[in-house]
Amino acid sequence: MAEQQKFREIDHSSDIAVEVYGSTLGELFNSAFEGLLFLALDKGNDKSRKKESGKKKIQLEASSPEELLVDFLNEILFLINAENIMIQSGKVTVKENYLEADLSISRDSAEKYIKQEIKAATYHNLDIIRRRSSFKATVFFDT
Amino acid sequence: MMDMPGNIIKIADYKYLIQKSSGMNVPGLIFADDTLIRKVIEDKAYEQVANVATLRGIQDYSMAMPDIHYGYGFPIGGVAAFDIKEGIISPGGIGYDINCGVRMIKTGIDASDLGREKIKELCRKFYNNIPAGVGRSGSLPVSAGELKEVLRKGARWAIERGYGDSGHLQDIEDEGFMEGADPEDLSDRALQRGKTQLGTLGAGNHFLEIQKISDIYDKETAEVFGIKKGMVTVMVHTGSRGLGYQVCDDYLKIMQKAIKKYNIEIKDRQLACAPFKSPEGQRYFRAMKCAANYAWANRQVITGKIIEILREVFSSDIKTGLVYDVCHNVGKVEEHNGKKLIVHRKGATRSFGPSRPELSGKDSSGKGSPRKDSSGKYSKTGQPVIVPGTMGTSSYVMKGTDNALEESFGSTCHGAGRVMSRRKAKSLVDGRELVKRLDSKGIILMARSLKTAAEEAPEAYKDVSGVVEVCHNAGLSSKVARARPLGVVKG
Repeated sequence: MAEQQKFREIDHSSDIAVEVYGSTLGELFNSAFEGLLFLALDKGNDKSRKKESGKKKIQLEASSPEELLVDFLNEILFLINAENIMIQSGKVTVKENYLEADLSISRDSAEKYIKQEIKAATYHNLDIIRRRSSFKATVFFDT
Repeated sequence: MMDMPGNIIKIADYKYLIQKSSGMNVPGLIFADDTLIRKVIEDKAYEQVANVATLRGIQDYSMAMPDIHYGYGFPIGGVAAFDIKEGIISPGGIGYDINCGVRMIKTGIDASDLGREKIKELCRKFYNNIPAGVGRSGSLPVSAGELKEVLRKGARWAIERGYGDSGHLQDIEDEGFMEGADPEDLSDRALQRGKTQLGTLGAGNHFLEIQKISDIYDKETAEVFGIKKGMVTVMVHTGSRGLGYQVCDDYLKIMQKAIKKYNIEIKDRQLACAPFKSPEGQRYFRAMKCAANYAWANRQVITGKIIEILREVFSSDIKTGLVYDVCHNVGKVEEHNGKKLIVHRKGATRSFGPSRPELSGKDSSGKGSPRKDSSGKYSKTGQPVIVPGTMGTSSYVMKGTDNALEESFGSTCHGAGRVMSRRKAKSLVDGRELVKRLDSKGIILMARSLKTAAEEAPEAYKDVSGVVEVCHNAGLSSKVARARPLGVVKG
C-alpha cells in the first residue's frame, strides 16, 4: 500500500502554506515538521547528512494543540535561522498540549542549505481538524 | 464582469464598500478600480478586511489600499485605526517585518553618464559589500550594549557611527526613530537575532535598485524633493530582519492569552490583540518601536555603504541625499479628527498632506516640538511617498495629500501587491531566463538565488502603474515622478 501523503504545499498569493495530515496528533506534528524542513532547507546535497553529529531535544507546552503547533514550528525556524543549526531529521511526540521532539542535527551551518527565508509560522486560519481516524491542519508561513 | 459578493457595493469611483454584517463594528472600504477589485474578490482578501472590522475600537472603516492582497489575519494593504482609549493593538496588524520600508537615495549623477559597465560595477559592489539573502553572515555585528542603543536611537545611531550624515534625518519618517522604545520589552531571542543582522538586506521581496528618474509629473514638487529627470537614484527595500520577526512572534503568543484575559472575540487567531492601554498592549508597542528603530538603523547602515560605494566608483565629492524613507508595516499613535488613534498600516504607507502639523515642524497640538519631520520643507507639498514597483517595471515618487487624511487616515499604497503565489511564480518563471529578459530591457539583475528572483518576477505582481493611478485618482497620494530600474540586487 502506498504511503499516505504527509503534507502538500498549497497556493497562497503572498506567502506559502502547507496542508498537513496524520492519523494521530503526533503524526500530524511530524508531518508539519517534515513539511517545514522541505520548504525551508535544500537537503538535496547529502554531504551534510554524513556530518550528522548530534542530537537536540525540544520540550514545549502550550494552551492548545494549535498554539503548540505554531510554537513548535517557530522553534524549528529559530534553530535554523538564528542558531544556524542544520536539522537533518526528527521525531516528535505529542500528548495534547505537551510536546517532545528529538532532533538529529549536523555540524554544518544551516545557512548553506536555506532554500527560502521563512519568517514565521502564523496562526492564520489555524484549526486542527480531527475526524475519527485522521487529523488535518493548514499552516500559513510568512516569507 | 465577475459576480460581486452581495455585501460589496461600489459607492463611488475607486471605492467599494463592504457592508456591515454580523460582528463587524464598522463597514469595510476598499480603494480599487474595476480591474483591481476583481483580484480582491478572486483571492478573498475582502474577507480579511471584514474580519478586521470586528475588532474592538476600530474607527470609521476597515480599509484596504489598491495593492491589497490576501495575507494572514490582516490583509496586506490594510489600514485600521483604533481609539487608544477603547481600542486594541494587534501585532498581526503590523506584521512580522516591523517597519519594513523603502528609502530612495538621490545622487548628483546623471543617468547619461552611467553606461552599462558602470551599472554592472555598481551592482557588483553592492552585491559584494551589502549582505543579501537568507542567513546572517557578513553583517555589522554589535554588542548587547550597542544593540540597546540602536533600539533606542534608530537611524541616528548609524549616523553617529559614520553611516550617512545628520542631514538625512529630516528626510526619514519620524526622523528615523520612535520615542519610547524600551529594549527591556524584548526577549533574549529577539536581542540575540538583532546582534548579527544590522546592515543586511535579507531575502524575499527585499532589494537594492539603481534607477533613473524617467518622468516628472509635478515639476514644482519634484524640485522640493530634490529630484529631476535623468537623475540616478538608489532604492533600498528592507526592514527589521530577524529581530522584528521575533518581536511579532513573541507578542502574538502573549496576545493569544490576552484575548482570553480581556474577553476579546476574534475571527482569526492571527488577529490576536490586547487593549492598547493594557500592560500587554503597551509592552508590545514599546517592543514594536524598538524593532522600528532597528529597521531605520538597518536602512541607514546600508545607505552609508551605498554612498561609500558611489564615492569610490564616481568621485569623493559626489552629492547624495535622501528623497525620503517610509515605513509600510507599522503602528503609530496619530491624531485624526481630534481623536488619538493607534493606526495600523500593514503593507500601506503614511501619506500625510500639507496640513499635518508633523510636516510643519510642530506637534499635533500645534505648539511645536523637537520632532520636526523634514524641518517644515514638506508643509507646502505633503510628504514624499515612495512606491516601489517590481524589478522589471517602474517605481514611483508620490506626495501625501490632505484628501488622504479625510479618506484613509492619511494612508496610501505600498507597492504593486502580489497576484501570484511564490510557488506558481517559480513554476512559471525560470531564473536564468528572467535575467536574460531583464537584460534585454537594459536592466541588470544580480541575485544570490535565482529561485528567489523568479518568485519576485514582474508577472507575480499587479501592474504598479495601475495601483498608482488608482491612488492618484482617488486622491490618496499624488504622482510626482517615475523611476525606471537600471540594476537590481536581490538576496
